[in-house]
Amino acid sequence: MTDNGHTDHEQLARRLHEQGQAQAPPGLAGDVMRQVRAEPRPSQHTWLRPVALCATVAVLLLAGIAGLTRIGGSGQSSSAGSAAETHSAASSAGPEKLQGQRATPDTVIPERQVAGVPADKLATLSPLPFCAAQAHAYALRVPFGRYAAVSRQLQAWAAAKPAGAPAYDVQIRRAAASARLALTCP
Amino acid sequence: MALPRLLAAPAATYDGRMRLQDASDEWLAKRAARGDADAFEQLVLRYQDRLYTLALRVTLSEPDARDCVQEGLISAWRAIDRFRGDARFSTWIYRIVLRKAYDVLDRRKRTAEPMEEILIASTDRPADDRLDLIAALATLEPEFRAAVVACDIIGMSMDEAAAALEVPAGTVKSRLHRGRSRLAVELEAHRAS
Repeated sequence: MTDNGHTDHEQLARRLHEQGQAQAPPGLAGDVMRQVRAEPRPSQHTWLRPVALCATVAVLLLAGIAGLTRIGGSGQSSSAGSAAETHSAASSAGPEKLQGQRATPDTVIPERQVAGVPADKLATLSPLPFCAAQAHAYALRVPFGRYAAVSRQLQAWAAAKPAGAPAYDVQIRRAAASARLALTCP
Repeated sequence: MALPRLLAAPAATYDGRMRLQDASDEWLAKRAARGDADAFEQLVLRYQDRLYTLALRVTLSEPDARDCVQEGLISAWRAIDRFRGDARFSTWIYRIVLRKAYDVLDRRKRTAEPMEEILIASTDRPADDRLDLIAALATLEPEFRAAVVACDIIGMSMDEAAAALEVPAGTVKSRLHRGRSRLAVELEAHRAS
């Protein structure tokens, strides 16, 4: 840049600074502040944020630990002879009873038990398997989408069971939608 | 020895509270982040003219400039708790308003808004040479105009302008130089005609 050019630019900058200023329209600040005061104020307790974050993390961790403990506990109890418990509960509480949670690969909780389903009706759903340990009960694995319908059907059959007809308690297990309906040993 | 003004605590009133007028921008911004609307109002009063000038000279329209400043300040209030003290408040607020001004220019380009109103219907009626200068400024392309406005009219340093315009300092320098050169040519042509 030449000295002349430099001086020109400096003069121009000075003129711009002197002549380019404008004043905010009257009422602008007032309008802004009216809107600002009408809005919810930013938190006045910024120190609460990290505390709230820590508390949330702690609660989530505790919930996770509690959940894991619960699953572990119910797994143990189910392996310790849940079939017998289920059968006795069903006998005392009527034809239908919601059971506790159980984590098996193909079930979705909750399970439901229907007591006294006639054997011949049950056999129309699936061949009755031979179960050595439990003579009076079966587990019925039901695809997710058919759960309600099958459950209603079993209840209807149980309600209409002829006296003295052989019958079984059926524990209905909701399975994945792609699973096949099948009777298994409990 | 007296402390530099920026380091010194703002003067206290008889009841021990800071006098807002004496407080630094950053102190006010911190107060505003805790919800102190009075502190924010002090910032609004302190910056409204400079922000309006910036928006007006970039958008070349008074109504648009007013909207930019109003929306920019409301956005700043909403986001002030995210303002980090490591940057200057002025740079931060200039950047917010400049973004609004650029949005206006983009919208105008998309909708091909007529430019009649733009040859500054300024309320502060200019003297002849002033009109020349503002009219010449309006002929610059927005990126050159923004650099000239930021550095020469508002008085930002090169670094501050770079931060506000969100471009490297070298780019600001080059835009400023080219902007001034073209402005000089425009003024010369205007005078000759």
